Amino acid sequence: MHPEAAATRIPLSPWRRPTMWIAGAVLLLALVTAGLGHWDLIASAHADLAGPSFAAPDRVHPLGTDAVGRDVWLRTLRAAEPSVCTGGLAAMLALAVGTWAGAWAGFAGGTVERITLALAQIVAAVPPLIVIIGLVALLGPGLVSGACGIAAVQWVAVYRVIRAESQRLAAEGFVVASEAMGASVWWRIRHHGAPHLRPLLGTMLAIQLAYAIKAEAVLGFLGLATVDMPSWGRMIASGSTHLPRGLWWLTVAAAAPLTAVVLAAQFLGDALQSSRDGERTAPPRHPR
Amino acid sequence: MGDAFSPTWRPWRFAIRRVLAGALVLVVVFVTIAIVGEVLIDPAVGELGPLAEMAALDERRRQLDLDRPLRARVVDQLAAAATFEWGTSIVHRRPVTDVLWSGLGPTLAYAVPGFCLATVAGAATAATQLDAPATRRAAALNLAAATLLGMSSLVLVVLVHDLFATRLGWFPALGWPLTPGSHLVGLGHLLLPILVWALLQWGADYRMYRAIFIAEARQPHYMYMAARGLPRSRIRRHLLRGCAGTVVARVVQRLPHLLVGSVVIEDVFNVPGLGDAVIVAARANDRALLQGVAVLSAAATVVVQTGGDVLARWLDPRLRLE
Repeated sequence: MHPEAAATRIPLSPWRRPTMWIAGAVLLLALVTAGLGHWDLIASAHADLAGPSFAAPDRVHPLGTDAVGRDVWLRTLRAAEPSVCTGGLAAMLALAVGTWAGAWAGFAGGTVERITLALAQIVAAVPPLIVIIGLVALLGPGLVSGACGIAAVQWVAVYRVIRAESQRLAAEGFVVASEAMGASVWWRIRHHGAPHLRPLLGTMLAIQLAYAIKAEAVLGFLGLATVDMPSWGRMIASGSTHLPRGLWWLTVAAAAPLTAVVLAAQFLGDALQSSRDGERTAPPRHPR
Repeated sequence: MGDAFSPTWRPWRFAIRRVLAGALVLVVVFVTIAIVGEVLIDPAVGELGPLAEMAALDERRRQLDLDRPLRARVVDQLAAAATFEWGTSIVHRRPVTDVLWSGLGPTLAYAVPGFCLATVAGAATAATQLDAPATRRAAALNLAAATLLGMSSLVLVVLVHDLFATRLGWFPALGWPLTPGSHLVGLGHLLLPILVWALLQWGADYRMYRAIFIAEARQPHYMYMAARGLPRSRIRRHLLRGCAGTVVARVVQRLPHLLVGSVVIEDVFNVPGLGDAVIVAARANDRALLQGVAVLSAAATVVVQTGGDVLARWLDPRLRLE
């Protein structure tokens, strides 16, 4: 594309993209379901025996029953809690740690940057799933240990992006001027860095959420997630063994919401990213 | 070191510095893993079980030298690891190096062909965007890549296995023969895991290579080449040469992931690879095997990325400015 043509692209507000609204609605629905399940307001009878085992979907049990006769629809609703909560907690932890470390490294530079970069390189040296599985195995299966394990690898990606953006901001004239006037690193991060980094955080949160939910599903599939409540990954693990017998609803019941939530997070992140890229190539707005 | 474009730039000095830095990273990684393992896992409990008597646990800890200071134990582990003495797996009851070596073959047997297939397919489909970036075909490819990237690998592997192996019967259900057979039998077993790996990787590769090619195509000198009347094929050759460094860096970044493979693929297809070893080690709290896999993958990452950085900078002088 010609550089001048790229500069005349008109940015599309993220709120005018249909994918944003659809993705947001799906994520909101998942969050509400997880919250209602956590406080036992829905699917409180998920562990009760509701009918014969392996019953096909019908009007009484919309998604059939599992091996011991529990209602699959209620278990699917209840499984939203560990999947969404672990993924959400992991994404927020990774965002918090990565953002602070990246902003600090980008604005302070020097020894701070070298130390944080070395830490990131050490974590990145081991394949992510090994770190996650290893940490969860060491800490024991659970919602918090899963979130900590996933966040322990995800913060590196956030750190790299925030550090690059912070270095760019730190070279801007207004930041250099504030530094020359004696502003501390924290003052510069708070007053100059935060307003410019905030739009980036929304995009990163959506993308990290997608990755975290996928990672939690894999942990559940491998039997390393929380054991005291159903999770979509564990439902897929148990359901996949019955697929050759034609018992498709056990797998589809968990695969469908998992796919919908992850796709929604991914598309939301893509829409936010596209809007930001459009804004960057837009012509500068001159004061009238 | 020499100026970026000066003929005095010496790749070997850069390589030595990277190797030394990589060795330091490796030592720190190993020490970190050793400390975390020593603090959080008790091998005596792993062997005797959590319900064993305190006296038996204490005796076993004394036999395993666990009453020594933490620093001494970590230093001993570091010294042993340098000579590839990575302990014994409590699950397999064999040296960890034997378990890793036997698992490496099955993992690489499907991971390497799958990786190559996805890389070539991703780069080839991304290259089609250069000629017609705004067509329906391009939009369809973008949507397919975004969808594959957004789907859980778990769902994809399970559904593909059920559809093509169980229902249609086009491929064997197992990804590895139960008994050693002919090479052709082995290849047939591996075909579906290879295709699944390629499918999982294609979406991310397509988007990355598309971004690389489009960013390179925006350089002004390609516009001048077109204005001078150079044929499109020659411009594309220049463009691909210009992207070579970045593409090599991307490929190298992904190579260490091949070592452990995909834990989901190995679990669903019953491939006895390193991913399967990680699952078994995690479920049984086999600290020695987990450490061995982590150290092996970290070592591979450091070695491969060091070599890849040197190669990328040799291919693309612009990267020497970084």
